[in-house]
Amino acid sequence: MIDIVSNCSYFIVAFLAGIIGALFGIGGGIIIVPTLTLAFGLDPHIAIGASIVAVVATSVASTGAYVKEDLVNMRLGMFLEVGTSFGALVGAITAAYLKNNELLILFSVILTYASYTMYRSSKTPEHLQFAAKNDFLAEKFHLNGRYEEKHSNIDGTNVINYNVENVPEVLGISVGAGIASGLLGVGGGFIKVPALVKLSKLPMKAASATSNFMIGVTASTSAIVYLKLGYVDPLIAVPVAFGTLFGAVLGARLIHYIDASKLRAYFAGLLVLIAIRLFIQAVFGI
Amino acid sequence: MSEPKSPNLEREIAFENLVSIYFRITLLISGLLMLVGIVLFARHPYAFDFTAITTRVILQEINKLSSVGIMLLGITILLLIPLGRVVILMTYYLSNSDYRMSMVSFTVLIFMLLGMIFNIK
Repeated sequence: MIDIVSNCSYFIVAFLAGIIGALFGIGGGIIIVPTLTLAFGLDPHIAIGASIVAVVATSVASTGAYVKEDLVNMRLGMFLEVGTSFGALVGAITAAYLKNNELLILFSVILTYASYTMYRSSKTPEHLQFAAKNDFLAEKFHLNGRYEEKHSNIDGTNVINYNVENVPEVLGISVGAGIASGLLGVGGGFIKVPALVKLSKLPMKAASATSNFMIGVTASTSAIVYLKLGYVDPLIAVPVAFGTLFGAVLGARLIHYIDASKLRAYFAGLLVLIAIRLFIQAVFGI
Repeated sequence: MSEPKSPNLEREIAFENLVSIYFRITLLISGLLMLVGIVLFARHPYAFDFTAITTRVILQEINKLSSVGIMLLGITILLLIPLGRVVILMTYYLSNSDYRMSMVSFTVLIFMLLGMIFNIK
């Protein structure tokens, strides 16, 4: 039985994970699962179940603010959710059949990929141009978007209009992000945001907000499967959800005071070390 | 650059505000339930075999209004928030006679419902 001390420990760990996730833009799930597994010795399925509930809570909370600021491209988000929700369903069902060590190996691979994208973004400054025109799917489904910048641009207006390119490719990547989310209890923003920015040429703000908007549906699809399988322990999931949520709120405020970009490369290195530790536990059981 | 995405921008913005309010209110309700549940559990802890959770067990616990049941109710509401949002968007697209996006929303809804009815155990 879980006592109140454990509840507080889960809350604190998730709180720290939420701060780090918000500071580095990778979400809390990628830190929560290895921490719960390595530090608390939890079954990876239970750790993933707790993480996926926390991912839904964080996504729902932040999406409310993003939608209010009109940053979310709802049509594009809904369109890509076809891929992510399908992937999440496949991922969650597959996870039910995987053994603990197989899940940990997969998680170490995803963690290595996340650290690679983080390292690359810390070294390569983004100088991307908006898309000149919509591709055929974006045209057919009116996926182009707009949002208002708080600072006016050179035209004197503060409305940014953008087109969307390479929708089929990003839809395919969304399926992959959904599978990763369903399998491993992560939001998958570190897969979707680079795809939206680099392939679809979305402005970073719109890409982050739209990805967050999608994460809620993706995580919810797989979380319901986890709940039904008995992998969502409320005594772990609730403190983890609260911790991640409050941590993410604080992390979002700390961004203005801490230059996380300088720390990204170091944190990417730390993620690789955690990935190696997970791999060792999965293969050698130590 | 293209024209703004919708010919009826004001209506769309009003709708986005509505979605934002929906997110906040439902999150508040589920957060409160989870908080009440965990406080009740801290006051009167009891053994609960979480490995045997099925839809029936969840409903039983919710019916009993035990601390774990209240937490499970909060989690269930939290997990249903995105589903509600998909339904709201689908209704919105239908009311605008935007059948393509309605079909897209419906497909997403089907995947979410499949997750609910799928039974591995």
